[in-house]
Amino acid sequence: MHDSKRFLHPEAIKRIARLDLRARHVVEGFLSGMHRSPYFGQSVEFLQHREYVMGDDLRHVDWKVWARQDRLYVKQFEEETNLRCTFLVDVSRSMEYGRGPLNKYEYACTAAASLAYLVLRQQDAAGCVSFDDKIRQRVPLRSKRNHLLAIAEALAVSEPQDKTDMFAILSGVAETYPRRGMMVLVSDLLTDQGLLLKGLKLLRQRGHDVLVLHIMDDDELDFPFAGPTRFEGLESPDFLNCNPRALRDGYLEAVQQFLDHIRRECAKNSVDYQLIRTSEPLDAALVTFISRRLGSMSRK
Amino acid sequence: MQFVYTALTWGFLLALVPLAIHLINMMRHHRVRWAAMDFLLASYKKHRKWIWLKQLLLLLMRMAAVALVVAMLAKLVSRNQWSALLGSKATHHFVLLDDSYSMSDRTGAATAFDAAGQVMARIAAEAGQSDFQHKFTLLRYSQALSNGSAGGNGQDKPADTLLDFNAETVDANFDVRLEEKRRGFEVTELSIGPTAALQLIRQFVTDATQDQNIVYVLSDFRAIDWEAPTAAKEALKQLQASGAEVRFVRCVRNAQANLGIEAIEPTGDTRAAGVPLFVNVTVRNHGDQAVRRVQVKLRTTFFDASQLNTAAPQANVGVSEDLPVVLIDEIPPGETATERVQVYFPAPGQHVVEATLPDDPIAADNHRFSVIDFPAGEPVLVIDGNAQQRNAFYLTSAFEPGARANTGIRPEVQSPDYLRDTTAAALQRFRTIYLLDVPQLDARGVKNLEAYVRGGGGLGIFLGPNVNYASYNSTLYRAGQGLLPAPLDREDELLADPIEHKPDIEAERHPIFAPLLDEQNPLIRLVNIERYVRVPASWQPAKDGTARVLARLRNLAPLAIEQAYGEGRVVLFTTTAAPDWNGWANDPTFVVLALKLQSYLARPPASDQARRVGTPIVVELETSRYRPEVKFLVPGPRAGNRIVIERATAPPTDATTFTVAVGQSPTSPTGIGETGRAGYYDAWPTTLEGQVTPRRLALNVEPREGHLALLEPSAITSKLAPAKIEFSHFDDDLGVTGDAGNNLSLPLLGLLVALLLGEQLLAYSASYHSLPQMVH
Repeated sequence: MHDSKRFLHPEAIKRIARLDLRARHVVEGFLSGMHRSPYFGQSVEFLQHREYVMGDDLRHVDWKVWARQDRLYVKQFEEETNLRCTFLVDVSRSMEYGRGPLNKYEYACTAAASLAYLVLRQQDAAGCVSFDDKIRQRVPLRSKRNHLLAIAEALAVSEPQDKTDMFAILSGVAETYPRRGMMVLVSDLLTDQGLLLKGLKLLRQRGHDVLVLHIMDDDELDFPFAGPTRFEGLESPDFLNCNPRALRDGYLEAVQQFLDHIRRECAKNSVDYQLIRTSEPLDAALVTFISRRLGSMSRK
Repeated sequence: MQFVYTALTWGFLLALVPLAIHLINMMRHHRVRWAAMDFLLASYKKHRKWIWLKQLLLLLMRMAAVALVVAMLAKLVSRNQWSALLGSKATHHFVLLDDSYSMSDRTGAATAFDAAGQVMARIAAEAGQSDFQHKFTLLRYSQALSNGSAGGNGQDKPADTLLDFNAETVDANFDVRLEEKRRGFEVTELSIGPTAALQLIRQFVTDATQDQNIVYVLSDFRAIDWEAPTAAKEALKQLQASGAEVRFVRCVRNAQANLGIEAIEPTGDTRAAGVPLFVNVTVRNHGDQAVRRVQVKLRTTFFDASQLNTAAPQANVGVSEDLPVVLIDEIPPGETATERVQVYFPAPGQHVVEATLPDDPIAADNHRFSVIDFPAGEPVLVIDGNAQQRNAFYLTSAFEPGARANTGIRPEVQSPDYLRDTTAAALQRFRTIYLLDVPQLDARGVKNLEAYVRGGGGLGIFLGPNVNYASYNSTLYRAGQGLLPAPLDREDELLADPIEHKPDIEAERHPIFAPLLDEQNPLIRLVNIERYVRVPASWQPAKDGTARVLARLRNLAPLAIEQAYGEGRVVLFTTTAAPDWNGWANDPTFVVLALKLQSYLARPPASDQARRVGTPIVVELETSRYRPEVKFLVPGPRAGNRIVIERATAPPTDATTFTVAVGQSPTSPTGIGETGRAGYYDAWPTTLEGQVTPRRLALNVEPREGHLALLEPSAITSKLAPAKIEFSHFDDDLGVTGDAGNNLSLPLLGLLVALLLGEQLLAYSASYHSLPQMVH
């Protein structure tokens, strides 16, 4: 049977060395497999009124409404630019794990580049930040088509190292990007959960749309190990000699609790969350992204 | 608790193998660089105690499984607690020791008998080291044989006196006592099978059913011992029915080639002092390859009756002379070769001929003895019915041709009345009796003759014109029940045959006519027979082979007829001895015929009979003539050494004879050992007047015992089926203490199975079983 997504499988993507080409390949393959093109409308028109709160810019107060109703409302307009999408890619050492065609780091980079290409293709602005315990690479937001190359280069030169300090990164990004936009966090989220959620909440408070692409390897989700094994931490000096079969149930239970917690907290903070296995085709990331875009439009 | 195979208890160290594997596996971890360590550590922290507990249990179960396997292999036994409450169950070792002479089979410096002794010592040592109670009973084959099966006087020894050990408790010093006893044991020269020992030990085993009985048969298990094992099979069956376990322990590794002297037999020629005598020496090759150039040494020992030293019996050793060595060119495997040698003794007496073979694995059958009685002459009674004693003249002329040619035959010519007036006992001194043309015999004479022949005497009958045929038929033939081989019909004439010129006599192949047959002596063709006595045409020799026609006339009428009668022989010639009816007496072949006839008819002396080692020597004496004391000279343990044994029997008042014996006394501690050596034995009865009348005879080993071919264990067990035999070799581990107490192998096996099942379940529970798509 003909598989329209055969070019999106990690095995196929692995064969393409350059990340920008890989992104084009993914997006073009993805779009050719869809029945209709997604709608990306853009508007500079009035969107809605919102009651004034302390701190709002007085320039946006609709004085005509004040004159009629003696209430202060501010006018809200569509952004002038279509979309400002920033990809936050985790390049910490934990992303190095993976026994499939692509490890988590490669998968995350590919997904981020593909999404950037998709954004740029629609004349929107895309930027990129790669980080571990601090920001390693930063690519400013641009809407030029050839900006993809810069993003791809920034991702490619980042090598996984050190631990993840998610709150520091996210709070830094929130400070760095005051204008609202879309923040796409691509990470395995193997960090302090409290700080992670705190960071996500901060981004949301700053008005960003936040999308979390949670990249996990099959091994991490299924734990298929057997036989005497020594597990050594990628980001910590911890190690454990054990019979993995004996710990499997407890491990999977802990992972499930972690995923449920993340999913629940993300939902609570209106953060879009998608768990993606590195063995899955890359269209899962694109679908999630497009869904998010459509969802945000419908909300508007 | 105790292990049968204690050497295997070292195997318990194998229980450490699972621990070692566990430790090695801990060092051989597969290494994985892992991101989600927090979840893994959380899981580990949560389940750590259970995991450790399961791993520890699993390790202990695996170590226990290995230990159980080792315990089963080492055969763990334990004393039954219930039986301990009622009194402990001892293990009783019944050892049957084969001491027949085939056990002297020597390989290197040790014999099979030595190996059997070592097996006994091992049994005693292992039993002595055991925690359980052990008893030991020992019976030698030779002792069992003296339990009446030797054909003695029926006075069996008390059975328990035959045992060397009788239910002796095995303690720490038992091996010392056994060793002291063993020093007195030696291989006998007997040929004994296991049957007597098995039958004797059966009653002891039956009496000891409260014990756990093991019967060990320490033997060489030669093929000849198991040719017809019906009685042994029955004894084994009964032994096992009483709950005893039977173990055969072979004490030789393989069969060796062996030569043995099978016989020294004087030829049937007349024997008398001063007359050379041929002796046949037969050697058998018991091996499976031909043997060449076998040297047989021969020695004669001459005993001069006039030099008898009655004061010192041991001093009468005779005068020995070595004869030239006889060389046998080749003896095929399994076959015999016979060589003839001539011996000569100048004076009458019972002289000894001894043959010796070179050394080989079995020494006992390399020597053989024969005592040959050389009388001063061979007394022969000649009864002639002719008034002029013409027949006797020609016959005695053949027996005594002249002073320079000594045949040893001493004929005594008597008239027919002699048989009527004498007694049967008086006739016994004659080796042969001849009836020559005797008209008839009265009833007393016939009775005397019949008693004589029945007792082993020889009778030759020549007919003639004086014979009363009707009287012969009624008194001597008696419808086939009498001495006469055939009935007599009438006198007849052998008509001349001028055309074919066939000889008058057609002789069969027979010792009497052997020298006259073929071309050896063509003169018999010239013998002329004119008249003869015809037997009825309807007469045929008896089908049982007791009567046989030895020679016929030209017209096929019988000329010489032989008949066996009792122990003796009768030969009838249907013509005259004197040249009345024939010209034979004038022919040189008549002398040959007369001497051969005499040799054939003469009764062999008693000492020629093949007596075996171990059989008793019984001397029968006349009460009115002999004293009750008899001295016996028997061979001693060293060559040439002789031992004097004095025996006396209270003469019965109501019998004319009494017997004195060695080798069968039920009270003698030596028992059959008195006649247990091959050699020549002397009995010295003393007359009431104080005169010693020595008698000598030889005892020899049973030559078949020298056949060393072994029977395969499978063949023995199949012959003895359904009796269950455990067969082993002397250097195998016998597992002496193996069945002391209760064998725990079966419960251990059950425990092992349960343990392995538990181990699998625990291993599954501890997630040590891989599932599909698992990554190792």
